[in-house]
Amino acid sequence: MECLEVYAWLQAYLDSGVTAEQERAVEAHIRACPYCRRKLVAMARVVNALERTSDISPRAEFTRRLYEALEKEAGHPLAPRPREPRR
Amino acid sequence: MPQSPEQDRMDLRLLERCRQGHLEAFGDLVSRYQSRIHTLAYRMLHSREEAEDVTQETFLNVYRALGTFQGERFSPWIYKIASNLCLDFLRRRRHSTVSLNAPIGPEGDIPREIADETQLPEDVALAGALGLDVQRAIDALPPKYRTVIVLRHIEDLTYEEIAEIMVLPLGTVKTRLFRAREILRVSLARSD
Repeated sequence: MECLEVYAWLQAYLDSGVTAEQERAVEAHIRACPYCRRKLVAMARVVNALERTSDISPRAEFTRRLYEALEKEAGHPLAPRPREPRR
Repeated sequence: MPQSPEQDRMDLRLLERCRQGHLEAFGDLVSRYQSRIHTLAYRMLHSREEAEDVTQETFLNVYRALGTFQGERFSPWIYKIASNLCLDFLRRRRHSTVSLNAPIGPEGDIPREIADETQLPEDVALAGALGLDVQRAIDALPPKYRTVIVLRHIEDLTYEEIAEIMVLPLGTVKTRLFRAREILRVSLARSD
């Protein structure tokens, strides 16, 4: 199997989006091909870096400002308000 | 973790209560989604101020459209509103200024290579959450690729959910995701 052929499978392999048969083919190819193996490791590193992140809460006063805007839109209070996000 | 069917049902119950006039249920929807929407917007725009503007505008749009929503799941709907707002912000930015790290090329998919040693205070504060080099590499992605990367790997949505949110065929979502990861791989290898 050629590197070009395996390319799309290599990508899908990262998302567990390949069939068992494709998975075996990808694994056989990367065992034999250092070029694709390096590429897969580098892509996995990118995916890991992205997926290690946690949510970023808005700043503490955000919820108050959001509620002021929503209440202006509704024309009346929207109580009770949700908790302020953590800093 | 992708959202469970139980969480989807809870969203729809809250939405229904909002429509019946129990507006405190809207507060519950805000609590459930504000961090996720803010994270999406921050990763797309790399600006706290703009991310908060997008988050606020997203909830206002949801509130205005409460009566017209007819989907089976709330989550793709709110993500669609938020990601379209982010793309609007990026378009406006592109028209008003030329960003130093905006992508170039006829297809707009070649990241610029300009060393930028400056760090915003928020960069320093958030660097621990996602390496600054990775955020900068996301910033350099063309918007159509940035959206799929953030929805897939930061918001942890499936290909199918992204296709629904972006109104694209599944194959196009995969192609964009694969291309985006390839660009990130190359630009991060360069910054090593």
